[in-house]
Amino acid sequence: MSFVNENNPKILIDLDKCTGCLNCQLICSFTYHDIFNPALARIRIERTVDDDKGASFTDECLQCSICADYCVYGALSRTEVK
Amino acid sequence: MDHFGYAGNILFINLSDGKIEKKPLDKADAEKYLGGLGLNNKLAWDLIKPGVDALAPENPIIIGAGPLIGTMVPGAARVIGTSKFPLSGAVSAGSGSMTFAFNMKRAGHDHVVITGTAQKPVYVFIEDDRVQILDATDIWGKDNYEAVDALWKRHARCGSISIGQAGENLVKFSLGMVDKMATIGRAGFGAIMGSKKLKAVLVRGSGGIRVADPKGFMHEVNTLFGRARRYPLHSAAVDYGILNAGGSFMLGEEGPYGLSAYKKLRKARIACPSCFIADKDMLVTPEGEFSGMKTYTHSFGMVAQTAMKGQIPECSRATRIVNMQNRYGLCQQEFDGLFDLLIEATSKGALSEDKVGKIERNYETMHDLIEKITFRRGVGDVLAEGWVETVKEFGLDPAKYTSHVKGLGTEFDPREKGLGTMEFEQLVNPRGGHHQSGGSPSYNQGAPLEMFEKHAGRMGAPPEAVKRIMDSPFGFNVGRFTRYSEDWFAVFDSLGICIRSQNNRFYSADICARLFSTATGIEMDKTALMSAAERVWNLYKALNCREGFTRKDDTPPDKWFEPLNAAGSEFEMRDYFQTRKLTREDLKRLLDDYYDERGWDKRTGCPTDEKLRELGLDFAVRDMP
Repeated sequence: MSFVNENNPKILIDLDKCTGCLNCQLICSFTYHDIFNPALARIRIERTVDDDKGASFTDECLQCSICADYCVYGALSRTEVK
Repeated sequence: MDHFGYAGNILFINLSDGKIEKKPLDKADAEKYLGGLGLNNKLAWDLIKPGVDALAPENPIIIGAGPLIGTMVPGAARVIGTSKFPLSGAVSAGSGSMTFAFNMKRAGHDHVVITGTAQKPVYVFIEDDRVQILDATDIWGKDNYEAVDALWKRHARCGSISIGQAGENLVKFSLGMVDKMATIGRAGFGAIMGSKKLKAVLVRGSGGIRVADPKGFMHEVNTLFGRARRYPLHSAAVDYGILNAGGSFMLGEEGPYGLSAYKKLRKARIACPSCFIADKDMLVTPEGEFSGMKTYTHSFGMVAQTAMKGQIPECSRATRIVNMQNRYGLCQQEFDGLFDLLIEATSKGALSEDKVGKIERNYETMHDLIEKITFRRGVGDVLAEGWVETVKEFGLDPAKYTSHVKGLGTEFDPREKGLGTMEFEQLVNPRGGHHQSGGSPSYNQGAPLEMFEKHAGRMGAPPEAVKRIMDSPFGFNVGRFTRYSEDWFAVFDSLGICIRSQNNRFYSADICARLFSTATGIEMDKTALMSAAERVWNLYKALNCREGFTRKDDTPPDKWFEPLNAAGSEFEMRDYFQTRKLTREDLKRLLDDYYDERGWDKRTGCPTDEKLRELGLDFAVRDMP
């Protein structure tokens, strides 16, 4: 089931395809903070103890959508053609 | 030092007195040994007293995370665990994956060294600079899934290395589980943790990793992403992970263990940080006696292998066997080998039912043996000691019934598809019969000859060495090639990159050198990187020559020279291209070639004084035979 998060309607999220590789967070933090650190990313990826998954964007997200460019699993995709 | 690539620290934890100390990483050591496996080897040289009992408090657990971990280098998430392992008595480096090393780096530690023994069960919780040794009495006796779930509920999800009951009961082939789904240290890493009363190590980091040359670094990362995206089989690898080998689904579409069965069980695909393959599966049994059972594994192939080994027609029951092994922390490979030994010895009348019970290829026998080994009941108490002790206890002829090197079972039988580098590597790997560092095109059947030449170059063998490798009546010289496979994998193990063929195929020695240089700021070209890798592997070997291992311990199992009866036919050991049967003399010559290519003493099988000095390992000279 795909959905969009209100902080970035330009990205379609499909959690079934998310593998938790965190490349979206790594490229986001590297692009805006020059460091690979998921804690500084503007996309949040969660996995609970029971293996439930979650993804959302923070208020600071600029909707640049570089995260989708580095998602090789198709969990994040642009809703508009680049 | 400037913390580019590296986190910059080594954490020391003593479980006996509770002392915790953090020391800065030495920049000169980092340049010399790269990180991960390499720096683990140096720490092992300094910390492991030769001859120490693997289960003694003094035997350290050294956990290493290479300099590329924490970045976007694809698959850079491998954690290396070094110690003296009880099954072989060899100083060994096991490896695992998932989020442990990633969290370790983010917490600020390149290496974590654990020594001593706790008075009562404990777990270690590392949260950035805060390190706690906490009571594990309530989770001692629980399996890996139960224990880690309990700890994650207490501390939230984080990186974990844990043991099940097999480790607690000091089974010699118990292993550690990383994040419940990756294995580490098949030759008794679990027992070493168990001997220290260490149920688990948890780590969570909130920091990040900087690189010295961001633009240059991302250029290399983007090259790798581009190669993966253009690779025609990438989407198949994403869908099926390591089940997809050489372009065809190994188990077919239909049948009890085909693609259709896999799709019914597969609930989620799980990746290590930064990986573009995702080799882990969460399987959920949909119906029947194990309905709802959750099993984490690095490949559905483990289930299929178990099914074939035990002739188990029901997929749910084969999955249950894998589930038990992972929960208990028991190495599937060693278990399968010992299971074969019992089947063979009982069917030939060399072992009677009154000694070992009824042994058949079925689910019930496998289930029963797993329980007995894990809890050391009856025959399980003997089997828990491994190959050497089992044949000794039962008075079996090792030549007839075992296939191991230095106590580790050989999974890759050269009689099946020829003597490739992975088969040969099992003889010379310092930790024993382990194939992993011998990867090459011979992993797949039917690789064309020119592919060996091409890949030897990609893996960093210099042109003159490639000529020597290709100058062989067998097409390529497996002994000479294996030396460069080992050095190539030493790069991966030291930098922290996943070695799976679906990942490492996109890398070359040039790219690795540029990734290392741009990440750490330590300039290193391909030649210097491969020289460092050679140093890393020589020190690995020297660690074990210091323990008393010599060429005699690299002897092929006798079984390799007897025909293998399978599928109604007999198979003899032949070279990779199947030109002719191989003899003991052939193997002796190939071992000579391997030692020659390494510049080692053919008589002892150990590094020469000259080689050690050439590599800047002068300190090791006096400890060689």
